[in-house]
Amino acid sequence: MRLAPQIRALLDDPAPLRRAQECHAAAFESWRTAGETAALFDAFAAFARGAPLAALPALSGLFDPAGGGAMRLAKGLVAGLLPALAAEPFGQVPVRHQTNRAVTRLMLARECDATLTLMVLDGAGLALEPPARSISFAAAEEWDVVLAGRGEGRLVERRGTASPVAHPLELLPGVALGRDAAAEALLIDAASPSLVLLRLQRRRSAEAATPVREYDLASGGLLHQSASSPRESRHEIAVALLGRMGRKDAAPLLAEIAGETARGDSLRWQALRECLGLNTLAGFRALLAVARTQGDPLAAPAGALRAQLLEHYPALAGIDQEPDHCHA
Amino acid sequence: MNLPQIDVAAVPDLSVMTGVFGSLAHKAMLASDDATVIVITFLYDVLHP
Repeated sequence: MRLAPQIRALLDDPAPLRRAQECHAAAFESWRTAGETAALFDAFAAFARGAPLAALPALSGLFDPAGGGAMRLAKGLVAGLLPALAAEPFGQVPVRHQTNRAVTRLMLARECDATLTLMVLDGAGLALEPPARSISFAAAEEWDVVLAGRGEGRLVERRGTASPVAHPLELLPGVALGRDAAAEALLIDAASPSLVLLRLQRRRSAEAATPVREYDLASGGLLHQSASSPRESRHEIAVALLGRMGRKDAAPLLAEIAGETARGDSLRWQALRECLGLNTLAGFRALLAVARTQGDPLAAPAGALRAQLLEHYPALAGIDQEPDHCHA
Repeated sequence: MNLPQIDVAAVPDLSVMTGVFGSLAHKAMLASDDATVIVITFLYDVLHP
């Protein structure tokens, strides 16, 4: 592999790289803690802890097209970071980022279930992407404001079980949108030459168990659903691992998870399956409790599984005839 | 009570499966949630401690 001499030198002696990193960190920190930005970050922290956006003028002002706050934020960031980048080109800007040919994201803040992200859509890159065929909805609130450029998009609405309905949307500087992301999603189809957006998001923690659902735009059919929080998936993996490890001592915990309706259906069902495998008595009792709980979304599949297991394993009839454990 | 050992593999999954956090059926351009950012930053933290 060919390495530029400047980079080779940094491999031999990492001290200049550390200094470069400190220079970038200091530039970011002095931007973050100065005047208007400091007030914004304080408001963001309160927002992340659940305060309504309307009660936080320093943050809500970003989405007021007349205020120009979002543009000041972006200009301040650029003015703060570019001199450090010019002085230390091998340092890494200490802002989490992601880029592909169509979109670049800079995550300016993240706390609890909230994020503040600056996004740039590149028109040429976007044109190379296949047209969107699907749209996702999540239990979250989302606000966007266009800072610069022009774009064409669609506001896609899905109410109840109806098919998604798309409303064309022209994205121009100053256009601001506040959305319930469970029912309204934004699709951006084109940008010319590029489109700069500031996006504020907050997942609704009370609905952490509601999956993100992806629907086909044309037919409205459900294409995919996935866990809406990393924690939910982590727990599901832990449940599967306990099962594979044969941890019989985990059966009571798995039975408990299976009965907790505030958790996601997928996690609860996996806990039930693994519990059945680890401890037949605890698992079948947990299954009966779920099957007998009115209004539980898993009651029907649990009832079907109960019938299936009773047919395969007649010995389970003894547990099935026990008094109702669920309400004991 | 002499109970049978239940084979987990024979216990069916739910009719609608739920993928892990951040999984997608299609490469969504602008997924309407922050999953991509969280997955990317998780990978960043893992790969660049």
